[in-house]
Amino acid sequence: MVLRNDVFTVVTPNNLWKEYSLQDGLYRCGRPTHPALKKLRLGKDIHFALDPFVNEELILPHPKMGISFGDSIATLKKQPVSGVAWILPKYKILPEGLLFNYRDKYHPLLNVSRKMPATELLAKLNELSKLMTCTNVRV
Amino acid sequence: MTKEYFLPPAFFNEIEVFAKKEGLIEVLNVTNKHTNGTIFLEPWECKILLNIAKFWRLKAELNFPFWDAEHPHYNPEHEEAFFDAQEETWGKIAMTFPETPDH
Repeated sequence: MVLRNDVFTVVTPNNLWKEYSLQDGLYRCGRPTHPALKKLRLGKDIHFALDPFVNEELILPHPKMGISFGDSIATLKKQPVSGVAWILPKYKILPEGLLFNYRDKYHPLLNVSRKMPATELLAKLNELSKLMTCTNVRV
Repeated sequence: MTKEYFLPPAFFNEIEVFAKKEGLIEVLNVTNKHTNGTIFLEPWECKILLNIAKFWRLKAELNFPFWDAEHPHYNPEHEEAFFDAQEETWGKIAMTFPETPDH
């Protein structure tokens, strides 16, 4: 299902590669040794709340926020970011609980599809990192 | 033509602190337009925010000049600090606003 809410679009995992059918994958400007998914930038990439019943942050879905990806290496090269392009190859299945949303299709944002503790999201990002490969292309 | 964008308010707060410190009135005029992160901008206003991202990137390059693994004086500590700065400060701004009109 693709939910088009005003100008912001939420893409469910099943539809990810239909929505990005023309791409060979989704790209992230990462570091030479990893795709920079090891830290959570709460309130910047990720929407969160403090859960009084759990001693850690609770990550919440947000249709406008998310961890930045690009739809191509060319997109990453156009924007003023530096690093190495990592690819989530086409047809890879996102770990459960993750999805993409976007305002502009060239800038997909990785988000949670349901609330989860920060430690769970970190584990899922680690899982996602293992699905990604380094292109060795510098941006 | 005006277009809607979203940048988490935390970034606007950081830009405003910087713009006030440096007396960048036109930057403040742009950031004052956001409501909870949602902002409607002309292309020239996007360029102002992109220029902040570029300025911060340049500052990080000056602070950590040996960040690049291909630099003859490559320093892993510089690399770590440079990427931390990118991911924490200008990376999201740089990806949110289009560098070229065709985006």
